[in-house]
Formats: sequence, structure tokens, C-alpha cells
Amino acid sequence: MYRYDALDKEIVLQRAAQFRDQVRRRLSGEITEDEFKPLRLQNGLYMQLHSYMLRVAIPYGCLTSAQVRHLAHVARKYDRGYAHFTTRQNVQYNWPKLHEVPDLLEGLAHVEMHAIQTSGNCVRNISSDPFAGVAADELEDPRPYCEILRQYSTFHPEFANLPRKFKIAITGAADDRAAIAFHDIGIRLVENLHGERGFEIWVGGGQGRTPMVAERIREFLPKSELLSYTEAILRIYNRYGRRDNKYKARIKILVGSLGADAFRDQVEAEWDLIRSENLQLDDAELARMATFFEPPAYDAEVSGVEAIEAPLLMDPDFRRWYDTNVFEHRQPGYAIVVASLKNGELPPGDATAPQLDAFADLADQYALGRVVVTHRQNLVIPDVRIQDLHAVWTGLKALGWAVPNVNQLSDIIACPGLDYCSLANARSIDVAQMISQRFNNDPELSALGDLTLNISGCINACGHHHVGHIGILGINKMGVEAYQLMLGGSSATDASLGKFLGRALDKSQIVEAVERVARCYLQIRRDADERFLDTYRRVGPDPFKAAVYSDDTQWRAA
Amino acid sequence: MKVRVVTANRTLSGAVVYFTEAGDWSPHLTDAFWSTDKDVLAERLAAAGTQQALVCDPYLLLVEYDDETLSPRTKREQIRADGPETMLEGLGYGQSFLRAAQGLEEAAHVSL
Repeated sequence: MYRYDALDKEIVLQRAAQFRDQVRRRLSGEITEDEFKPLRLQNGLYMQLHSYMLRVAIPYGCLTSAQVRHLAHVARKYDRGYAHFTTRQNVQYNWPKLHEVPDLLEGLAHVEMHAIQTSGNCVRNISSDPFAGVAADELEDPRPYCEILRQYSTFHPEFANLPRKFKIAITGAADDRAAIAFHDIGIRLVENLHGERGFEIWVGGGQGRTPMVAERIREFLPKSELLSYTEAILRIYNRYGRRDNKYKARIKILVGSLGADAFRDQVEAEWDLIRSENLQLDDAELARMATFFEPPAYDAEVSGVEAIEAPLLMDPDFRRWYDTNVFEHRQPGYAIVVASLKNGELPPGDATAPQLDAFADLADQYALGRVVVTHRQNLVIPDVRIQDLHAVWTGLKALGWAVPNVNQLSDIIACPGLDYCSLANARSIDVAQMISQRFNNDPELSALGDLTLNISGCINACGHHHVGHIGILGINKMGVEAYQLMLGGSSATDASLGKFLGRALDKSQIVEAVERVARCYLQIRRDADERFLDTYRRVGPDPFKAAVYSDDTQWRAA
Repeated sequence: MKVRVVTANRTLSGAVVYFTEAGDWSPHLTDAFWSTDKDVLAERLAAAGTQQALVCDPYLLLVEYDDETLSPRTKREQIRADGPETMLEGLGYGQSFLRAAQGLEEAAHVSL
């Protein structure tokens, strides 16, 4: 994991001190809210419906157990005892008080954390595969390149005022767990025909009110050119991206209007002009950065799955969790564990301070003290010895985080919705909880296999509704919350956008509608191995439409 | 009857507040000064706007006045007035959360 050097420490401490003075001036009336707003947003501090919200950066989702404990401390001292993990692998606090935020930021700086560039029209947190560095299907660890891009884009003066926010994701694995097709720039580590490693570059993906799947503009970029090519893309966007209309300002609109080929031509022309400048990454720098992410000292004397044969046979709950929440590790004898923060009680992605503390203890006791946040709002312990899986499961069960539902229907992504967000039209959290409770408590419905469900409370799509196998979009229908159902989205390697199924449904109908879709799938799938998404792509929307809307009149009467 | 009140968020805490007849801020919608007169409302909004150290971005809000009680007209304003519904129900946060929430709300009202 990257560790701050003296300069990093100085920068984040200075930033906290600057914000302390800005807050003092705001509270004394020296500056107005209009003057203060851009300053607080540059420090990740938003005003939501009934409180401030502070978004803290977690670079590519990676945390130490000490940082997890500090997040628990922040939740206790400055918030209401909980934290909320986001789809950008960050963490948010929903109740900070303005006069306490400078102390909060200073405390974060001491554990090598900050809230810089978690808001505003700049390059946001670089996100990545939550299994980075340990995935069995990984060509190469993407984290050194995430860190290089993080350092390059932090406080970059030329890109501090882009037309709109800018999101970059990198994956090094065959299976895309970083949603690169829905980022402003998506990067995949690849190997060319000569056996050289480099990057495949995608641009113009995104969600919001104009969802688009990214276009590939380069099949192979040498590693040394990561920064020069990224800078060329950012320059073209900065120069030609629309600033007249906030809703048309993202790079996807520029790529869409020019076409991918014309956009690529402009980027390549700009790249030719700047690539000989000081932006080349030499082997020494790449090697230096890689040293921060070297594999830990794994135990060579570990057992394989035979060590847990007995509990797998004897304990069906453990077996079910093992099948859904444990993933293959590249190191023999080790496994990747995903703790599900979707037990239907707390809102998706919420964690209380005691849960965070206990989770940090588990990560220390069984797994080298490393934790990763996923974009599906769960937490990963990446280095668990297989022989310790039963103990880890027992520990997670005590936290309520051992629900066997990872990548299944009740593993719901949900935005904060109208309960918190000043942009939202409808609540997301209670819909997620109602669906989780309905599906977790039904043996048939809780075993549907891979089936993701994402909920957004408005068209801005923070809950990624466009890319859920099932998506739910909350709308405001004449002052009343209503929900539109979408099917067929995916943020994985087989990226696609979901399509609306039909008219909006009342809140009282939405859980039933999802259940009808699920039961329809169970009836028409070829066999238990055919995923929901594959069934939908094979048969189209009609059977699902019929299942949801066939007795429309009764629904209306109800 | 539809009437308008002035509302804002406290600068210190972000908490929702309503402008009272006395010219201060209350967390309760029922304490709000209301009117249907455009000129009166414009004057009240201007007066609220002079208190930017205390509150952020005051604006006029349409509410329902019935039986001498003011109530929100939209779900958004109802949640704004009452807090997140997930919180009110307690859910899995437990008593420590509720105590913390109460304590922090009291702390939010410290004098400047």
C-alpha cells in the first residue's frame, strides 16, 4: 500500500489548516455562503437536505485496519456513530458540524487520509478492482498505476476547473469488477502480441441522465505513456467540453457528438505534441511505485480447502456463504472474502463504529490488516487463509455482515436518496431494505444466482440503476414518489445499459414487481446455470413485461 | 390553504430551520412566520438574507396551513422537516445511535 512521504503529509496538513481558516471566516460572517461554497466543495463538504455531508477519499478503495479504526473514531466523535461507503469506493459522513470539520480533516491527515478532490469539476478518486493485487484472473496489479494517476491528478493546476467532474477507473483483470465502461476514462491492463504489457484505453462512458457505454480509442498504450495519453485526453476535454450546459458537460457528450474516431484523432494529435515532454514514466519510477504494492509475506505452510471440509459439509449456512462471498485468490491457500453490508437492516453501505472496529480486528487477526471498499458498497478482506475462513465467517456473522448474497439480488447498490440527498426525487434506502428483507427471507428467491439490483433516487444515477441487471429509478410523479423498473444493464465485462420495462410503479408495487420479474426468470430460464442477464438477453423484455403488467388494472385498484 | 414560509439550513450544523415572526430561527415548521402576501414575503426573505452567518441560502417554501397548523406539502419537505425516515425508525443503528443523534442535535445549537 502506498505510504505518504514527508511532502504528502505536509500537503494534507496544510490543506486542513487552510480549511480551518476558511471555516472561521465563514462562521464570523467575513465571507458569504456563495464565497464559501466552492471552498468547502474542494474539501468534499456538501450541504444535503438536513445537514452537511463530508466525502472522504479512499484511493482505489484501499484501507489499512488502522484507517478503518480511524473511520470508526470519526463516526463516533463527529457523526452519529456510522459511516457510509459509496459507489466510488469512498466513505461519507452524513452529520458533520461545520466548526468540527477542520479537526476532523486534521485527524484524517494523521492517518494519511483526506477529502481532497472528492467533489468539484476535477479528477475524482481513481477507482479500481476491489480484488486488485490478489485476483486469480489478474494480468497485473493495477494499483501502482492508480497511484501514479492519483498523484498526477491531485492539485493539477490545468485540470482543477474541468467542464465537469472526471472519473477514471483501472482494472488489471479479465473480469471487469471496476466498471471501466462507465467511466470518463476506463483503463484495462493488457498484453500485446509481442508479450508487452500496456493499457487499453476507453473513453466517454458514464451514467446520469445521458447514460453511455465507453468507446475504446486505443487498443494498446505503452506503460510509459500513461500520463502523456491521459493528459492528451484531459486537454481535449478541457478545451472542447461544453461549459454552457451542466447536463451536457461530461466527456461522454463530447465523445458522442464528435464520434469516437474523430475524438481519437484529436487526442492522438494532441498526444503527438506533448508526448516528448516531461510526462514519460520510466522503468525506475514504475518499479518504485510497484514496491508499495508488493505482495505481503504469505504463509507458505497453509492448508487448502481440505482444512474446512468438515464445516463445509456440516454447516449449510457456512457452505452457502462460502459459495457466494468467498472468491479465488492468486496465492494458493488463501481466499478473498467479501463482507456484505446488505443485511436489510442498515441502509446499503452503512457501517456503525462498532462494526468498523470489529472488522478491523478481524482483518488484523486473520488477514494482514488490509481492507478494500467495493463499488457495490461492500468491504473486502483480501488475504484470508482458507483454513481461517470459518473463523472469519463466525466473526462476520456477529457483525451481521455474513449474509450470503454477494452479486445476488439483495446485494443492492442504493444511493442515499430522498432521505438525505437534496437532488433526489424519491427514497432509495427503504426500497432497498424492503426488497432485501423480502428476498433474504425466501429460500427460493434468495438463491437466484448472479443478479444485481441497483437503485437511484433520481436521474443522476448515483445508485447505478442503468447498469443493474435490474435497475430501479425513483421519480417524482405529481409530488408522489414513483419508481421505474429497468432490465438488462451490466457494469461488468459484458457492459450494457438497462431498458425501461414500462410505466412507473407506485411505492407499494415495487417489491412485488421485482418479485414478479424474479419468478418469471425462474420459470423461463433454460437451466439453473443461465444467469438472469443471459435469460433477459435471450428472450427480451416481453415475458417480464407481461409478468409485471398483465393484471395492471388490479394493481391500480390496489 | 397554501402559504409561504422562509426556510434555510443552519450554517453551523446544516440543520433545517424556519424563520419566525420575531426574526430568529426555529427547527420547527410550526413556529414559522407565514404569509400569502408577496411583498411581505419578499421583505421577510430579504431580512433572512442578512443573517448569512447563521444560515445558508434562505428561500421561500410553499406549505399547507390548516387548522392553525403548518405542514409540508411534499415528501421532500416532510423529510427535510423530520429527518431521514430510516433514522426515525432506528433500524439497526441501536440506542447508541439515537443517543448520539440527540446529543449532536443539542450541540448543534451552541451560540456563536
